[in-house]
Amino acid sequence: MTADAPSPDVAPAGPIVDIRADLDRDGKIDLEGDNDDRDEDKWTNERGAIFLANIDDDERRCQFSAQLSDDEIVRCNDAADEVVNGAADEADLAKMLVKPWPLAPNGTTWMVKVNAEAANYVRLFIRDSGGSLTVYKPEPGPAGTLRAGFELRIEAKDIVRDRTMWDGFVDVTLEVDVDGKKHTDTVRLRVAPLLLHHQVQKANGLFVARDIFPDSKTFVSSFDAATTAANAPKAIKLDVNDQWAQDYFETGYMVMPKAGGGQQVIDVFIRSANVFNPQSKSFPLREAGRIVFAARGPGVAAIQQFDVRHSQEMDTLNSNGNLEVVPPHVAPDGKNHAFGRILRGSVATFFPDPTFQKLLDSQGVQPTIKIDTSWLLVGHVDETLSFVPTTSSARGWTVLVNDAAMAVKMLTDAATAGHRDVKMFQNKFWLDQLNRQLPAETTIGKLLDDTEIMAATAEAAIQVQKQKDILKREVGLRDEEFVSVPFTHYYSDGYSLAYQPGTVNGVVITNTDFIAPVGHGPVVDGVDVFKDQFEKAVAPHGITVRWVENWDLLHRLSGEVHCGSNARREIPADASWWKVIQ
Amino acid sequence: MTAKRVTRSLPFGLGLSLLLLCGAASAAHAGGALFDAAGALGANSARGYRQRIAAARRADARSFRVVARLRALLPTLAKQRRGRGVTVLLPLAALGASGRWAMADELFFSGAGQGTLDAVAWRGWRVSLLEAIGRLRRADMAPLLRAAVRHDDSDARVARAAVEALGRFGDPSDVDLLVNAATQRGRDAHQLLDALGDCRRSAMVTRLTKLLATPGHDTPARLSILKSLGRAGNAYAWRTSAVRKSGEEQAVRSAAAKALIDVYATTTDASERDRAATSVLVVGWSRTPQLIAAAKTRHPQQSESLDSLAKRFARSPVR
Repeated sequence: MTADAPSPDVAPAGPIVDIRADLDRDGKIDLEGDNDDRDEDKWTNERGAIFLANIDDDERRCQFSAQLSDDEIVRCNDAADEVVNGAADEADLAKMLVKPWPLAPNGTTWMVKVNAEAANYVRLFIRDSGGSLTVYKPEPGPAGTLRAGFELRIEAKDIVRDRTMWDGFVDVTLEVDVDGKKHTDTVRLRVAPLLLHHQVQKANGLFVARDIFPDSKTFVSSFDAATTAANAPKAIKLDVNDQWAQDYFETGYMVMPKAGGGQQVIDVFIRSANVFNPQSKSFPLREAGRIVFAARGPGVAAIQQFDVRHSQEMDTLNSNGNLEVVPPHVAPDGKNHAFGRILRGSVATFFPDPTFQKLLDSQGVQPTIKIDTSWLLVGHVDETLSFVPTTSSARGWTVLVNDAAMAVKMLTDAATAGHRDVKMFQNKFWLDQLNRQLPAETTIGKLLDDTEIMAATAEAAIQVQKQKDILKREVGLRDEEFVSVPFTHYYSDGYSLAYQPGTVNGVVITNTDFIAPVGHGPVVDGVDVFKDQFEKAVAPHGITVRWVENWDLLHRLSGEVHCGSNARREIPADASWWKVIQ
Repeated sequence: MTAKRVTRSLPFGLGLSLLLLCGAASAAHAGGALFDAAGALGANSARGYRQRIAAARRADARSFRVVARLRALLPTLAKQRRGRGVTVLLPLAALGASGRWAMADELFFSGAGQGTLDAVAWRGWRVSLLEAIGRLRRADMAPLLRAAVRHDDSDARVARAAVEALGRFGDPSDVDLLVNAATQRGRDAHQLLDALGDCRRSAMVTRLTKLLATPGHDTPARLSILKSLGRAGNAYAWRTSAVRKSGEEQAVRSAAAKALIDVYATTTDASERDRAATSVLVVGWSRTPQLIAAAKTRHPQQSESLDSLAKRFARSPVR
């Protein structure tokens, strides 16, 4: 706020040129005192106003049509027009107040401007004398408005995707002209980042593809039985011809302090950057990902980010099975990652869409930890790692990790004990379309003597050890915090895949229940030794395993339960990202 | 019509590749086969294979039907795939040894060709067939795989699969053929070099070690050679009868471990050091600590780094 020395032409107190926003983030704007005035042109983790990218669809105006191209379908949202779309939309707009200057002299004019860097990314609204919010276009306003004071609202038209283009900040300046002399006051606001969920957040929605495939019914009914047993949300069946529900979308959210207290939230469904049709100008992206636009609605946004020119050889990394979040932790360097950190498979020679990664990097709250998944045929982090809640440590979560060497030891021990001929994968087949002519059944002895399985398993053990080392270094995890999940691997085209169902590739559906794929392991003395091991390994963490049959639909097509499902999760009660954003 | 890759005789990694289209297909060569059988095998040998395939078709028609059905399913599988390729290796492997004739017929003699398969499905089909045949290690398939390696398919992944499949037979007399196929590949050499390690013979490890000592290889090629050394000495692979029967475990694993440790100690490239370390751990040779100690003597300036490797080895799950 500025107050010039009194002049004969103005009231003795000087002009009141004062624009304010919710700097102390308590959900209201104080026009008296300096709670919402002090250092308002700065923005820090302690103080500074916040606004949202208003990209949901509060009045369900947006079409979900197969005719709309990938480029067209994403454009519709509440920030795409210059209209406040109802009361719910108004709540998504952050408020600013211009303090009344009752003694503003006649002829005083005012204008509100935003800095040039942000101008294309934000929109202002002004509450008129009738109480309606209308779009604000910078032009001189009359003294009368200034005398009464007025309300502004602001929305971002998009999230931050590249900080070199827009860093998410906007400086809103009130400029008042009093007899040719300009007085200004500026408030800085920051747009809320996009945050991704982690598995330790409670699931309030689960998704699987509907049972359109011949093999779907078993999986879907098995999944439903598991959620029922766990008292978890029943899975929504997605109307898509793609069973890899994990891969084509991700869920996240944006939060700002709510008027009156609490959190104003916009959920975000993020389409994967998979480019399945690079030659198509209209529909280059993976078709199933369009489901995010069916989810778009009140309080729900849908976004996408991709470069159609990214390497097709690396496109698998753009599936969201390769986009997970390490739950909250304080890193060894002391940094508080209160919302966790993103985990992706990415190395210098094999990496996901750079523009999507840039979007993630631009949010400033969940930095990315990168591990090597280039040795895997599919290449996703969820093939070897998973995070689950635990009651047995202060951290509150622990890591499930593939332990391929343990698998070999278990099988070797069983063989040594005289069980070489015990069968695995009984009554399982490769491709039922061939009327069960390709049995998957094998024995412990055959597996242990299969050169390609054993070789792949050895490599997997070493590669996962490297992944663990990175997590230990970055997160501060100790060896005892990793829960071993044994399963073997095999090679195809020189890359590794799970030979036994990858039990680590599961879903946390409640804070005590984990869905895992049935392993069809060897049964010794009436006990499936791998099933038994896993249940006993997670029990001390307060976790109950819910086994789901996914061999036909998912395992024999190189995926498991996590790959074939997705989840929406509760927003943290305290999502005050502003305290930690970089 | 077949596409054959011709490379200039330049050190791989520096050479240019020229794609030539051969002349009209021979009458004995079905359009979909990997190569012209009569040309590649000789007319008599090709005829002999055709007769054995015909006999197999009479004795085991099921396998031929299954292969045909798998082929027909490829577009669906490609659409449902997860990841960078389609694999039908395990379904093909489930046919067992008797199924090799159906697979050989599809790949080398009567195959339907790409037809309407997209590039991913076509590649996945041929790679899976080669892998499945290679896994069987049946002697009667070796001449076909040798011809496949010599054919040097324009698709590097298919060429790689042929090298890998033949290598698994573990015949030292194939080492020159395999190494030459990889090193003469030009820009794609690195894709084939990492398959050489599936030939787990002392002669192959010697050649791989010599390749590392030869200048002029680019980083991807060197990384692939290091990976191959790891594959050759793979600790768990050597527990299996197909590999152990050579009697060369000590020769292969110790030589591989030593070569890898030498690179680890001398390279200035971080990616090479990482790959060498990974391969040392995959080999998991019992005398690795002693080899590391000896390397410290030769390269004292790398003591700290070698100590780090020794620590990693000490806690390796594969030993």
